Amino acid sequence: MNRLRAHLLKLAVPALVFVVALVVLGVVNRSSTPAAPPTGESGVISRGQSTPEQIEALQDAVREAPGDAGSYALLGDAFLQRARETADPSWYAKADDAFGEALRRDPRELTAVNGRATLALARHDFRAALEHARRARRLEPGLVRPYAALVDALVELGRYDEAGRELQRMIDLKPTLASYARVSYFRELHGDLAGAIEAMELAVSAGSGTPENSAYVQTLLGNLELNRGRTGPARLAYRTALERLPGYVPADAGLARVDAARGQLDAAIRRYRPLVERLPLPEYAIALGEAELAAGRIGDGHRDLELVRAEERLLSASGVNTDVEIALFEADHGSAARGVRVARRAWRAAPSVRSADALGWALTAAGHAEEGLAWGRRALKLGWRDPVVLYHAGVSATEAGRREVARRYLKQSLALNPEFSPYHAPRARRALERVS
Amino acid sequence: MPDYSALAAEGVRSLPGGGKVFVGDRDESFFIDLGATFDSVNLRVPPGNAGGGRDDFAGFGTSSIVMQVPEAEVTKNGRSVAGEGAANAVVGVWASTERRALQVTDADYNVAAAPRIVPRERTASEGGPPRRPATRGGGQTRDRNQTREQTTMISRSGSARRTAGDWVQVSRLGGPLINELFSPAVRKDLYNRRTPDGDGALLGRQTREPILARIINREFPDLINAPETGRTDLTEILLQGVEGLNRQIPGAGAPTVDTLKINLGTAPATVPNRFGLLGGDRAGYPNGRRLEDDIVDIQVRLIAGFLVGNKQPLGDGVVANDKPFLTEFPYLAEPDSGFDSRLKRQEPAQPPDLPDPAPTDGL
Repeated sequence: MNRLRAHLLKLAVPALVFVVALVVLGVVNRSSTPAAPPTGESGVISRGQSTPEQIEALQDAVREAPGDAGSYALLGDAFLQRARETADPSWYAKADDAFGEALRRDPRELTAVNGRATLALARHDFRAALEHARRARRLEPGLVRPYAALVDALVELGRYDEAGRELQRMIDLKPTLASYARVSYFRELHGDLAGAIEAMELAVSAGSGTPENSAYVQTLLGNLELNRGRTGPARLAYRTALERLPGYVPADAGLARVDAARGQLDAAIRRYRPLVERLPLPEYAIALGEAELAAGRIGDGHRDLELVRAEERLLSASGVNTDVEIALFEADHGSAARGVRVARRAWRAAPSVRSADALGWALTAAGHAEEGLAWGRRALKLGWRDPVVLYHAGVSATEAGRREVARRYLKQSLALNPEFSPYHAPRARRALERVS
Repeated sequence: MPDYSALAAEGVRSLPGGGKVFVGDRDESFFIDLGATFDSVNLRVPPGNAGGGRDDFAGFGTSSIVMQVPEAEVTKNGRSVAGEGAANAVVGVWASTERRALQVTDADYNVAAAPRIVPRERTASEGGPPRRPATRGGGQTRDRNQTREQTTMISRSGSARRTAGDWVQVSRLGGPLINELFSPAVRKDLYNRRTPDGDGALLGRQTREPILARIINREFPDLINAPETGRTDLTEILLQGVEGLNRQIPGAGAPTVDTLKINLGTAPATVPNRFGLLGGDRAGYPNGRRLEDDIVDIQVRLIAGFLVGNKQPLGDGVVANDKPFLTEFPYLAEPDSGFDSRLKRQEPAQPPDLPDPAPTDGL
């Protein structure tokens, strides 16, 4: 690092004038993926630098100009970017500190306020995210970026009417990849799958200068197609994402899901394994373990599912809340009683349809199917047509002896995607036989 | 081999009234050391007046919209221009990109009743509304954003009900590198959403106290010494136009608007100087903008204080496009085939430019 660059980076915040347009994506992670939502900010300092190089340069910059709030804020963003690249949540604490230093020097430092909102979302602390996002919007009402965290937080807090209003404002303010993608998720939650795909196609078509953002929405498009059982279009979407960003893990995982949906479990397992090694995230370990169980490789399956708890501890130590994912995991493969405890905590923190689904499923697994069904209905109150959520409600109804309700939910689940999971879809079919 | 020239020629269409339009792939016409320039003008070989830069756009093609329209279609009185001094000679041009908003769901989120977000700095006093130019959305003043963000709104699964949202302006461009160099990041959304009539408030202070002057002074201590305040010279040349050349209303009443202002009566230069007006070539930037005008070098020299007695031989070390421009419509060079393209290019060493480019430069 020569002195010139250090000088330059000291000026990194004024240098923001060069950023033509920040694409802010960050559809909130609905999984345990701790990766912070992409903000498109990695290119702010220099497109030529890798994230570790940027971090080093910014650390030099804050040493040279310890009073500069802007450099601290950018350092925080670089740490968030690193967390996304490595899935190592220990970067979050560093990001948090850097944003804190920035705000101690300048409480109105907008990048830091936005950064805090993004960080809180990544940790699934939705109330904090909402607060930071609102503050960012007050500081600069014409800017579209704070709306991303604002909408995501409201959705995850179950405040759907407000979320819808803010989202409408967001897209009226600036129709971009970030706003189209959020419209897509909102429509998905309301059961409008065709509308969700339409909006996600617009997100893809709007594009972004950041390959990761484009790959991300392409992958989400694949997930939407796969959720309604269309493996061909899903595969195409994942492949397009990988073409845009080779090695992109969520798209690779999508291809593994396609393999599994087509009954090619060995191929799916071969694809999942390196992903689990590269990104230690519960969602991939669960997918791998369940594929192995479905393939009759019981020992392997149990061993890989064991990884989930270690990953949970790792995430939790870095302040990442994975309660919804862990509650479902415990209900499926662990202690149902713990699942219920964790799901209740999830509901208190974030009373969303996702939390309702997790709580309902955990209650049913713990033998309280009637209560489980009531929560399952709550999960579906917006009209959500997700094969897994419908399967949960259907099994709850089965266990509660509500045959007709069970038939309806299970049929809907299997009609959307008869192979929604190599592990759970056969269970859905068996449950349907029981009530038919 | 397919004959792209012939194919492209078929893409030239006539417009009613005598104009023509081309839409399709052309060579990327910008020449710029992108990596250095957009890294806070981190000049590779300061001061950058002797070549040696990297043309990051060499070898790339870009989707382009090129329009040529009769003068009478863009002048304020609908007549062609008699000469440089004619009252209708100066026109201002800007372009925008719009995308369609969506209705989030069928639910009525009653957004109309929500408090409107009013940008703080909007004032009625600065700048009159510009005429909405007839060349809106295209023209030779095309911007990369324009052509790259033309989004296809047709959706395979689409239902017309939802795509019926309003078209929302998400990008605009008037003068080259104005938003890029002068708007702070937090105002870029605002700039892109607004029309030029608010530019006095939006860009007035940003040009009078350009942040970039501070940056390059600190970046290259004792080399540049750009004045950091009181830069009405920049506001005038970039936003109001040059008196007696391309100012739409003479005197202090000229609106402060980011439009590309061109005097249609100025005779084209026989030998264009890439420094345009800075090199004594009245037919070049900022009097319109020709493809061969070296915008990066010009803007950096202007910011350093060219018009206020601080002439510095600055530049990005890239002096010309990798391919010659055409002498006839559509002017942009033909793109490379993917088979032949070689991306990026090192500008060879050049005889150093003078701080005050000689009018013969470019010969």
